[in-house]
Amino acid sequence: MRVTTAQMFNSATYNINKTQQNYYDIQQTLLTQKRVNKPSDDPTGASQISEVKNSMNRLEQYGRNIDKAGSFIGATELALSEVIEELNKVLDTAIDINGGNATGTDYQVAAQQIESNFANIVQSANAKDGDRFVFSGYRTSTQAFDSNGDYQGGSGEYIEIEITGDNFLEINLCGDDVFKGPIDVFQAVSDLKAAVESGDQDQIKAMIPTVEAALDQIIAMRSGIGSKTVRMEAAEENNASLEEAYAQILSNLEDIDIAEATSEYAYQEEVYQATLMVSSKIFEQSILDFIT
Amino acid sequence: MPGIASILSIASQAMWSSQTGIEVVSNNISNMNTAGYSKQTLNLNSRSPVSINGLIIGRGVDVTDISMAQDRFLDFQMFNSKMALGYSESRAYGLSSLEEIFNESDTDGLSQAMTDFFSAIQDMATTPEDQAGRVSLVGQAEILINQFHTMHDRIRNVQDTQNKNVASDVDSINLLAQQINEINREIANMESSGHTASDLRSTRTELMNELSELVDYSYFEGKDGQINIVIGGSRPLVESGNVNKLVTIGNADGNWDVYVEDVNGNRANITSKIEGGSLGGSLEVRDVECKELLDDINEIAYQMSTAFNAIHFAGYGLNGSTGINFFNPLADSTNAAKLIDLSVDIKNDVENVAASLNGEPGDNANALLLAELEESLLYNGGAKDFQDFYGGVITRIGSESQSAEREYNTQESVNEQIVGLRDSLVGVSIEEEMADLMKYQYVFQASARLYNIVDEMAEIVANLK
Repeated sequence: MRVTTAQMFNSATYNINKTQQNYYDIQQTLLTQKRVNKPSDDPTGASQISEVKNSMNRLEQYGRNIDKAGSFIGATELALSEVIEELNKVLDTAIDINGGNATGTDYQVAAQQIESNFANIVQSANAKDGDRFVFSGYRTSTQAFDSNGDYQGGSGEYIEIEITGDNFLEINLCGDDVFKGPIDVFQAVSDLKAAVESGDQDQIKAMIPTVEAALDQIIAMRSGIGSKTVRMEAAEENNASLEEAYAQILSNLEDIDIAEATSEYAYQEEVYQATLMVSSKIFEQSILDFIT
Repeated sequence: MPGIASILSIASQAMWSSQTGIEVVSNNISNMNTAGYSKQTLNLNSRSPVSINGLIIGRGVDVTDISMAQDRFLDFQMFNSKMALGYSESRAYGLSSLEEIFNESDTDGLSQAMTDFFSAIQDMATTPEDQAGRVSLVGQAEILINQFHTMHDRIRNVQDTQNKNVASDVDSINLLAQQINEINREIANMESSGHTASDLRSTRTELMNELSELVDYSYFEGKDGQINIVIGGSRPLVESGNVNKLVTIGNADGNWDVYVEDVNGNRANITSKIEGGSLGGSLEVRDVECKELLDDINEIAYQMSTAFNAIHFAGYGLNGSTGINFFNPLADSTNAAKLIDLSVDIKNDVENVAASLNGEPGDNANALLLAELEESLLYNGGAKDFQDFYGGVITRIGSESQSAEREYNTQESVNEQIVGLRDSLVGVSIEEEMADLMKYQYVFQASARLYNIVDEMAEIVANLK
C-alpha cells in the first residue's frame, strides 16, 4: 500500500495522543488512589458507593442515638437506685422503731427522718437528664411529681429512639407506672410516716410490707432498665460489626489495587516513551537528505 | 512533410509537458498539508503518428489532462465517520459535564445532603425539646435545598451550553452551505470545458467533510458536477445553484428549534430529524439527557417535600403550633428542584418544627415519622426509596457517559483509519513527488539538448554547398 507523508505524520500524532491519554488516565488513578472518580468510571459501583456511604452515615447516626439514649437511661437508673436507697432507709427506720421500746420523741425523730426520705424520693422522681425530666413521659419540661408526690407527667407516653436499623428502644419509664401503680410508693411512705408519727406499733407493723412491696416494685423497674442497657450494647456491637463490613465493601468498591495500578503505570510510561521514540525516528527520515 | 522543423516541434512539446509536470509536482508539494487536498497527476499521451513513405513515425507527446486521485466511496465513508465522530464527541463532552453533577465520590452531593438532613431529624428526635437540634435541622434543610438549587442550575447550564452550541453549529452550517454552493457554481463553469476542476473539487470535499462533523446529511452529484445536499431527512440545503438556510426559533422550553428556510421564506422544523454531527449530539444531550435528569431531581424535590409536609402538617411544634408546612408547598414537580424552599413559618421560628404528635415537648413521635421518610417508597410511582431511585439515576448517567466516551474513542479510531486510508490513496508523498520532479527534470534537460542537436543539424544543412 502506498504510504504518504501526511499519513505518517497523522498516524504518529494520533498514536502519541492515544498513549498520552492512557498515560494520563493511570496517573489520575494513582493520584486520587480511587478507581471511581466519576460515575462513568463504574456506573453500578458509583451508586453502590453512594448507598454504602449512606448506610455508614446511618450507623454513625445510630451511634449518636445510642449515646443520647444511654445518657437518658443512665439518669433514670441512677434515680431509681437513689429511690431504692431511700426506701431501704425508710424500712430500716420503721423496723428499728417497731421492734423496741421507743418513746414519744423517738417516734417524732423517726417520722421526721421518714419525711426527709420522702422528700428525697420526690427529688429523685424528678430526676433530669440535662434539661429533661426523665419520668414525665412526653412532658419532659414539667416536673414529674409535685412535693406531695402527685403525678404531673404524661401516662403511657414512651420516647422511642432508633438504635439500629428499624429497631426502636423506649428510653423512658413513665412516673405513674414506676411510683403510682400497682403500689403508690409515695402513699405507702407517707402512710408509714403517719403511723410512726402516731406511735401506733400495730399500724407501723401493718405498713412495713406495703413499703417492702413498693421497694420490690422499684427494684423490678430498675432491672427492666438494665435489660434496656443490654439491648443497647447489643445494638452497638451489631452496628460496629456492620460498620466494619461496610468499610470493607467501600474499600473494595473505590480503592485501587496499588500493585496493579503501579505496574499499569510503568507499562503505560514505557508505551508512551516508545511511541515518542518511534515517532521522532519517522520524522527524521526524508528523501531530501539523500538527493542533492 | 517531416523535417528538421518537426523535430523542433516535438522537442518544444516535450519541454512544455515536462514543465507542466513540474508545475503539477510543485502544486502537489505546496498542498501537502492542505486539508482535503487530493494528489494531482499529469496525464500524457503520445501524439497520433503520421505515415511517411510507409513508415509510421511518432509525433511526440500531448498533455491530455491533469487528474486527481479520488475514491468516491472512501469520501462517502469519511463523511459518515465524521458525522458519527462529531456526534459522539459533542455527546461525550456534554455527558461528562453532566455526570460531574452527580458525582458522589466527594462529600458534597445530593445523597450526602439528604443523609445529613435525615440525620439532623434523628438528632432532633433524641432531644425534641432542644432548640439546638431544631436550629441544626433547619440548617441542614437549607443545605439540602441549596443542593437541589445548585444541581438544577448546573443541569440547566449544561443545557444552555448545548443550546448555544446548537446556535453556533447552525451558523457554521449556513456558512459552509454557502461556500459549497459557490464552489458548486465555479466547478460547473470550469468543467463545462470538459476538464476536471481538481483543486476546486478537493476544496469542496474538505468543506463537505467539515459539514459532516456538524450535521448528518445526504448528497448526490448532478450532471453538471454540482453537489446537492439534503438535510433533516428530506429538506434540500444546497440544490442546483440555490442555497437554503437553517434558522433557529425558540421553542416552549426556551431552547432553539432548528428550521430549514427556503428562498421563498417557507420554514420546516427539522429539530427531531437531526441525528448526526455535533449538532445532533448537542440536541440529544439537551433534549434527552438533560431533560431526563431535570425530571428526576424535580421528582425527588417534589415527592420528598410533599410527603414531608403531609407528616409535618399533622404534628405540633415546641410552641404548640400545628398545621404548618415545613417546605413551601409545590403544586407539581415542574421546576420543583429550583422552587423548593423552607416555608416562612419555619424560617421565622424553629419552634414551629413539628417533632411532637401530641403537643408535648418531649414527644418525638412525629420526628420519628419524618425520619422514616428517608426509606419510604416515594419515587417512581411508589416503587423506590431515595437511595434506590437516586442510585439508579447515578448509574444511568454514569453508563450513558461511559458508553458515549467509548463510542467517541471508537469513532476516533474508525475515523483515523479511514482518513489514513484516504491519505494513502489521495495524499501527497514527498518521496513520490521528488521522484516525479527528477523524472520531469530529465525530460526537460533532454529536450533542451534536442534543440542543440536540431540547431547543429540546421547549421549543417545551411552550410551544404
